[in-house]
Amino acid sequence: MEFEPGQDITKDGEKGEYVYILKSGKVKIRLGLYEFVVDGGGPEVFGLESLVGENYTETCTALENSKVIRCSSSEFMEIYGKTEVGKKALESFMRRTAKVLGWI
Amino acid sequence: MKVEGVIFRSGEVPKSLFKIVSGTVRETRNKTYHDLVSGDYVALLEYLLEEPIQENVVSTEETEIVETNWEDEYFEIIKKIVSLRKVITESSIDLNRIVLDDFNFGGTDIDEYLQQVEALLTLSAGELPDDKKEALNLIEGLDDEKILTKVNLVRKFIEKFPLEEEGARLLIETAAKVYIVLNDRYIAKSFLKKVLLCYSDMPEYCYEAIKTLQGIYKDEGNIIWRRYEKIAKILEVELRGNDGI
Repeated sequence: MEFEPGQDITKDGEKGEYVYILKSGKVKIRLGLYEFVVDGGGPEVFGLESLVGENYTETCTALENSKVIRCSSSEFMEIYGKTEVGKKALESFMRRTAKVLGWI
Repeated sequence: MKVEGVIFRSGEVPKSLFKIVSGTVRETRNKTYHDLVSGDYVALLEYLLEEPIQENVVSTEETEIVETNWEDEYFEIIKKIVSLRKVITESSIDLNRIVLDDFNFGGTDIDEYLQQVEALLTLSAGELPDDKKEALNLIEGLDDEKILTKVNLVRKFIEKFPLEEEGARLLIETAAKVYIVLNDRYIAKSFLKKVLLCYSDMPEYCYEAIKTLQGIYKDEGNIIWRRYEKIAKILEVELRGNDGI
């Protein structure tokens, strides 16, 4: 699916239903007062909270036309869970958290 | 396995993921330590990012850990990270409905209080440059060991550049650092309340300040945290309505 500039992909506080994998484009991720900009070179993954039944904790907004793969929890785990994409997803999720916490 | 003492040494890149079964493990990053307990993962950040440990990771009592890996612990790791994020973003505000009495300032003169702290510690932070950018560079260049100097310089920054948005950000960031590094609730709370008083036209910063105040009051077991929680919820709704958050 595709998001236009300004469209939210996930919203902080909303029920997490899907995991998104950014394929192309540019996305701003807002966590607390911090903002990170990522592109499809990663791949970057948003919405891991949905895998554990939690609300989204960050707001991800497309900055330009952005293509993403949208997966349900079971789809994501089945296809990507134990792959490099799954590992990279955990790593990015942790990295953003650590930055906001001032750990790195 | 049972461990006592150093688990990972400074500079080491953790190749294994250990989960704590019992006991306590202390991690230190940027001069701030975090005690991990049963169910937590040792050096999770460095393991996932494949980065070197900043300072030795040690058990502070007899501790049992078990080796595991990210594949088997995928959901549990996400839960741990989400719980860390909840510490960061604990709430929201709407300033149109906020009355100062709600914040329980209790007649405390914040500047007077900070001056007392400054005098007590015989601190001399020096003068702040007249150029805003230079002043910011000076403040932001100070490391955690000079946190009290930073406190004084931030206070001077607010006086010198009262209309600048950076003041609100500096107050919130410094309050959080003071709370984490010095575990000083009083200076932290004073700074956060100063955000509400001086930057009431910046609801996003006020929201952040109130969320942090809520967390601090909750940590100290002061029931007033519920009041902050309530105010935060109101403000959050307002901000959402304005697409502010």
